[in-house]
Amino acid sequence: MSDSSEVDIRDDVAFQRREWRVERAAWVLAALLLALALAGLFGGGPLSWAGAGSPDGVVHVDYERFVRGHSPTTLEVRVAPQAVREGRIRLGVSQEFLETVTVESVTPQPSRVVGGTGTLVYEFDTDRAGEPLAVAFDLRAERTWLHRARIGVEGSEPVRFWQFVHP
Amino acid sequence: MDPVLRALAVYVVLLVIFRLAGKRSMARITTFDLLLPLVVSEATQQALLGDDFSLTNAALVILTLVAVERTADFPRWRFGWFTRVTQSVPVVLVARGEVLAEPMAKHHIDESEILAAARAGQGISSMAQIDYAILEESGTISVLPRNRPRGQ
Repeated sequence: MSDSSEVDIRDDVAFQRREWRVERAAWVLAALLLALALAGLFGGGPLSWAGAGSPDGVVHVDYERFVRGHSPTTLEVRVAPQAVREGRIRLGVSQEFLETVTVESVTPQPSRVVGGTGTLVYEFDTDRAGEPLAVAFDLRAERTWLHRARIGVEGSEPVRFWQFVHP
Repeated sequence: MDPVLRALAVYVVLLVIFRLAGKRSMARITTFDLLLPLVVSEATQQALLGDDFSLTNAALVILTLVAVERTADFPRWRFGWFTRVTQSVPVVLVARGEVLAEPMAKHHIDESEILAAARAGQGISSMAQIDYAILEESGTISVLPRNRPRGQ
């Protein structure tokens, strides 16, 4: 170590060796994190893509399990034709979930949005009977952490799923 | 997934552009050379972050860039050709006091720039005192003075 006695270097070989070991461990951790990120743990990958359906198959939702805060995400809802009542589909979304996101747009545009107890009901006019309705909710996650959502139509068990919002 | 891929894409684009632009592109000779990194970082910011202002996104982008940079150090250390391809090689501009015209012309360097580097680094005031001048991979010019102490 100190052959270099004429130069005043305050080195510490033992400490440096420990530092190298910690660095190696950190690299492994970083590689693992990047692999998980590519897989979608932080949004946008196979781990994140998810779908859920109601038990009777009337409503099906495609969503992202993992989302990053303040970044856009889309909820795609498909409603089977048997949910049509008087030319309309009334899709209820739990208010508890809507409070955690900003709804940037709903496509197609609902003809009416009605508030209810714990559920916001989006009404869509349908003139083509026998065809499923596909609705896209463009959202921006506002609140971090785990959120539960409930989406359904009247007379059928709602779809339940969870979404995790990273900071 | 996309923050990692975005960061990778930006890294590759910047690497290719600045590698092909030559060693002097980041050498900070003129005033605009000083502004160039600022302008480049402004322009790449959008591509790196997209419209995603989350902490997670920023952390992933930074982690990816650092990881790529450190991972590239391994082949650079292990394989000489990889270093040459990604980082280039040093070029001798002045050898034994003789100015070499061809490398000087290829890199658009004149004697005044060598003298400037000599003044800044070695306190040398004339070409006669310069033994070697070398354009390093980083774009800086190293100057070795004549009558420097030889051996230890």
